[in-house]
Amino acid sequence: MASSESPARAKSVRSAAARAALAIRSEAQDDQTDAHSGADGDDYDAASQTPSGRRVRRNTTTSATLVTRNKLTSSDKSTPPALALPIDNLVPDLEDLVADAARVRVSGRHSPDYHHFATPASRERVHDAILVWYDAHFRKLPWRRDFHNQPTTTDEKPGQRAYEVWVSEIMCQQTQVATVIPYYNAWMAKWPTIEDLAAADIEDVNKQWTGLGYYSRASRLHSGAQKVLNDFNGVLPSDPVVLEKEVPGIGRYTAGAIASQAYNVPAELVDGNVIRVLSRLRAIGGDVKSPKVIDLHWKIAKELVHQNRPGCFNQGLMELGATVCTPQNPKCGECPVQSSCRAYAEMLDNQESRQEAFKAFENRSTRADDRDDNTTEACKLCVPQEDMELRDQELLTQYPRKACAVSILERIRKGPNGKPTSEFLLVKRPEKGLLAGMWEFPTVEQSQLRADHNQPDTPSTYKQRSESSQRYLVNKFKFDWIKTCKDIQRRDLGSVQHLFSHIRKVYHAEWVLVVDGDGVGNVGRDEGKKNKKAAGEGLEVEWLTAAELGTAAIPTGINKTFQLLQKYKARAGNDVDESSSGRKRKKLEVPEDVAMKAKKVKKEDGLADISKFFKPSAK
Amino acid sequence: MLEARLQTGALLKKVLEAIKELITDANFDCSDNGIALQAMDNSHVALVALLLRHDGFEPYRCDRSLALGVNLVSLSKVLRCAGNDDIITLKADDTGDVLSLTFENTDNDRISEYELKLMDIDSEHLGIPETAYDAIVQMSSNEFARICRDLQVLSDSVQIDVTKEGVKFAAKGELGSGSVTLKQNSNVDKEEDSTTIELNQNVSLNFSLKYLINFTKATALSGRVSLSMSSEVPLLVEYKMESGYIRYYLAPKIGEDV
Repeated sequence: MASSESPARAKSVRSAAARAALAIRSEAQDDQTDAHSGADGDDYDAASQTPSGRRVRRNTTTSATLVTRNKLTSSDKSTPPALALPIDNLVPDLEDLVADAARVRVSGRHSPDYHHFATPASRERVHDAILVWYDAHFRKLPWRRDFHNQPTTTDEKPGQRAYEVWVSEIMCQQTQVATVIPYYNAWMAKWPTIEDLAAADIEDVNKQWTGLGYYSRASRLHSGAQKVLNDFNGVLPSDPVVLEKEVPGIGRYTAGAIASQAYNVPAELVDGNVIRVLSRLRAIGGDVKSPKVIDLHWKIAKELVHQNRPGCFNQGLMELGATVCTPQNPKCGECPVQSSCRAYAEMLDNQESRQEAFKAFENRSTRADDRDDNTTEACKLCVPQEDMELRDQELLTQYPRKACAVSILERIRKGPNGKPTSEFLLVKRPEKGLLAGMWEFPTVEQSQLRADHNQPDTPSTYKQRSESSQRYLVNKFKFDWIKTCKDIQRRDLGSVQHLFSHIRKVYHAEWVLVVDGDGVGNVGRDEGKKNKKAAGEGLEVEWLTAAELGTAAIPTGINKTFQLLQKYKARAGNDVDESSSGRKRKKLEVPEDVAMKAKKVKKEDGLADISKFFKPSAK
Repeated sequence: MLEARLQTGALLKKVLEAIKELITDANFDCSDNGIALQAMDNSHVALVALLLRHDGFEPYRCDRSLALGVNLVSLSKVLRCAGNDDIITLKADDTGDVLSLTFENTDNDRISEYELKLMDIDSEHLGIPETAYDAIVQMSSNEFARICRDLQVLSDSVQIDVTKEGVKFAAKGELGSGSVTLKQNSNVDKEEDSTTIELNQNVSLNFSLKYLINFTKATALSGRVSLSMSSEVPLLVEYKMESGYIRYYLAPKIGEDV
């Protein structure tokens, strides 16, 4: 990767060469595509590829000339394409993205543009690469019989192809492709056209569907076919909007699939696979459940969709998600769009020294076609990612995610035997939602964080989180002493993350140590049980020692933050640590069942936790 | 996009009555298969699994799986505005943040429309394994409700003993003790009221009556209830509906009498 030691001049020289190499590459790529479609005996492809290819070439050469202004232009012209092709040509694009990633990491913010493809050239690079990959890797499936041909061949009546795509898409919902194939063939043998299906008996249709499950799909296909016959003269509309609105059983996704695959209408589509590919490709860290983020995916898909071969592109994108860009352990080495992938770039950036990468960014005099330069406006969708201790692989699979601020409040006070003991404040989670009723350190959720600072558009800083946590403690538990207390230490512990079935949650941890903890936090159990509920808005709180924490049922994510604290203490090696570890050993002698019982009382007299009997589902 | 039309609105009202005391917020997971809900109660002692199969609706349409986060108290309040004979239609967009409900009365001259704001609920979905239970008791749901109600007078927990002869519910408290025994019978005349037992092994288990009484809120949904038990495994209380079910799981009491 970038040799950041090289002086600025050498740097620019290198990128210039790289840029020129890119130009050569896109030329070479064009040749490839042409040759490929030529081999398929298909004029349509060759015709469609060349203009777009030319645009790429024009763009990149301009930027190359703009940048160089020196003798290098001539020198790289003499570079034989064969030499430029293998590795070097992949580096420059990625290098820009890595520089972006470095800047985003250091500045802690990025613009909404970070998620988009800045120029037509960068878009074309992606969709060309996906098409080339798809052409080489597509699976041969019965409903893809005219894969490379123009959708409507002469011997077919209009809408026939749409009918086939429709049936296949409906069948493939929630069902594996391998299962679908025999059903699809049998279906097509029985009702080769939409008229046949419309005329069929619903009982017959259901019978044909037997074994596929989700029978309402069959009846909707049937009623849809009748509607199309009556209202649209037996031809499925080619406008995805009309499809979605008028035909029962066709949603946004299926509409996009039919329009793009059957009618070659450049309609975008987004499914689970596409969401994953796009959110990695563009490093979209927002919660994929939120309508705005889903909207962004649709927008990007729309920008990206290939104007001439939308069907192939859409299928390529999904196939890429299914086979290469997998949820766990994506095969980045095989990925055709690796060089345009922001998540991959962020991973590379993480591998390098962060500072060095930033230097590299500052030294770069080139302007990439796909750079995130809009620093004036920050992206509002992504959950801030700061100083996360991620392994490389996790950097890729970290999308999507959510965040919260955790404050580990520790007080040290004289125990019953006169020795100082330290205790941690735990709060019972609200009786609803994620991990309902479990115990955790005081935690401020991301929505609150943003509301507190009235800055929905910037990621939180440690200072902000710390303020929010303090406000939370004061408001919820009437810990007014925290504002005036002098003997208080606060440390940023960094962050950990925990993977729930669908969200990756980032816990930003802060350690708040009150050294003289006598009479602090008047909600402890020593003050009697009556205080427990009374403390602030019905939230139950409790002070637990480290040993009790070990036996209490606290969520794994929160446990990780506690480990973070222990790691920090071990590093600092201060005497607080010693005293607590000494106490810990002593406490461990407490018979386990006693500790267990204390925990259970908090729940409900002697009732077991039902979640212990059932495993979280693998999904 | 979800669109589900329910001919007898009373069913949905009853379903809500059956779960809203136990759970405050939950996701309705809508898929092609129907509408499902799985949630633990606040103290994580009980779990509710609800399924309303697609064939119970006419029509039912859901082309992409949707999770509708709903506050159950609010939903049941809205449902109170529907008549028992009303036809209820549920609708939700893929990206929208409301659940819309339409109530039509049978004469079709009154249509009310409500929109309920949805919530973002993070829920842990638990995989419930297929379990071969030692004892499965099928009985009248009214009888079960009555037994729970009666024994509550004495204690807050009930011991259920199942043998070949019958099932015995017993409670012991400060006031004294009491028990109700139902003998296995296959009364052909009144099949609704019969008690049947499938038994591999005798079981004797303790459960919280408070929760069982909560479960009997589903009595209106089905005339029959089945109790499936094995030692050290949660009790399964199931009410079967015409197209779907409501299942309650309750963790056994541990070490109370020891």
